[in-house]
Amino acid sequence: METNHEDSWAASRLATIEPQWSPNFARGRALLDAKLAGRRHSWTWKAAAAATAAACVAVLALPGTRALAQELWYRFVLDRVDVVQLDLSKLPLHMQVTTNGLEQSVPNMDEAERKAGFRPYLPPPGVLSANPGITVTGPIAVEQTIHVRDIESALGKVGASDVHVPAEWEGMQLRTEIGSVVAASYRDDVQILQARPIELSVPSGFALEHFGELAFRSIGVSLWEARAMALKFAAHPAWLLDIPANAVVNVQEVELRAGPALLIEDFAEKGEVKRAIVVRSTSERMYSVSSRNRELSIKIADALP
Amino acid sequence: MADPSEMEVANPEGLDAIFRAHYERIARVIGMVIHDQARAEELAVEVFLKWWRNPLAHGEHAAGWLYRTSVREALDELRRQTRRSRFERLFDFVRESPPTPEQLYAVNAEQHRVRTALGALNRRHAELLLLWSQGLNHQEIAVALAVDSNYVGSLVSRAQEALRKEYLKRYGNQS
Repeated sequence: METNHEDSWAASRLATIEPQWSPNFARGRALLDAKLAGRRHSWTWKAAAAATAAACVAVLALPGTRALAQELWYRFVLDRVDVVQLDLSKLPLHMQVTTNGLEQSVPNMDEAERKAGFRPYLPPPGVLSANPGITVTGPIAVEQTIHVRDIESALGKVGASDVHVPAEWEGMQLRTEIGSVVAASYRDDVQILQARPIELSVPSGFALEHFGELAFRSIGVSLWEARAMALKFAAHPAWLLDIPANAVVNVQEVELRAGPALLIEDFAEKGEVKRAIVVRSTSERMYSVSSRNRELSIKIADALP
Repeated sequence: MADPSEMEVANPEGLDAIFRAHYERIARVIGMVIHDQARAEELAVEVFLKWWRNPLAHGEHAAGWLYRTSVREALDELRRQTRRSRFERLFDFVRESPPTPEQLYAVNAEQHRVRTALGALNRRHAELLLLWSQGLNHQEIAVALAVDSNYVGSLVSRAQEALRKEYLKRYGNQS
């Protein structure tokens, strides 16, 4: 501690607030691990939870006539975003997630493009003050396998005893692919994530709408609501984001120059905005812009193509 | 061996290295402002997670970024606590040997006064004092707060003076 004439008085005062405890490294490490695990689990915007939701949407989205096509798999690209206050991670499907690696820092946009396979969009100069740090996360594939007994069990637990789960569904797989995700991180917790749209593959000849209805019912959605949701998605497929039913969030559609997007505001304990996220998906790109301020998130999203 | 703050850090191994190197000191800095050990440790972990998420904070100035962010987090938390009138936490003092009630009262009351005065200072003064009190030298403080190292001495002096004035204004010459 370097000294000056006020030293002893200030030092003696500040000494009284020196912690009398020693930091518990093991507890800190455990907290860090738990947060990291939680972050991975709640990576709604960029990983498995979104993929889980999206896979369900894919199943719901495909009209029955398409499923009759003479293809082993039907591939589908989502170009819309929707939000449901459900926990889709509770879907009674056996899920396997594979990825080719961790998030990597890259020095510039050219390298990001080389790794991700697409040129990331950034807002033009003047929208944000500094250059971002860029990272690229490798592709993620999610395979969900249907086990009839699991679905029957989940339906039984929520009291849905009026339905029959076809035995031929046993072992069928739904596959979701999320391409590389580019993250641009700016000061003040501003982040832009972007990726190619999610691709989904489902076996042809599968009773998609029926499965969607049962899937929603298995996590507690009522019969008529589940049926309505299935119809909605069949009419206009979407990348589905799930938000816990007890989460305090505001979701609204906002109109950007490039088209509609969703604004999702997450509130802290005292009602202040904790995160404001603008999510948009097109046939060519999906992205989310997040910051601690809704106007800023919208402004940045509006500056993207 | 490379300084952990200079390692490639956008991966769990990098985070692990810098966490090992700095966690205890960061937790103590926060602990000066936030009396509750558990809360101070939680905030320290949040600081590391923020650092991990922010590639701009990586590299040679990682330690400075950690200190700056930790004092800001701590001061923000103190102000939140003040607003919520949750100072009862300040009296959950844990010591190795039990103090007498008089000692406990005197120590806690003084801590309360110092923290209140510290929380009433402008942010830059409070940041300077917290880092100075942790034994950071002028160069380290300059890096952490992005100020010219030639001015750190005078800035610290002004911050000390501000603390003294704020304390005396509120409590008089009680110490």
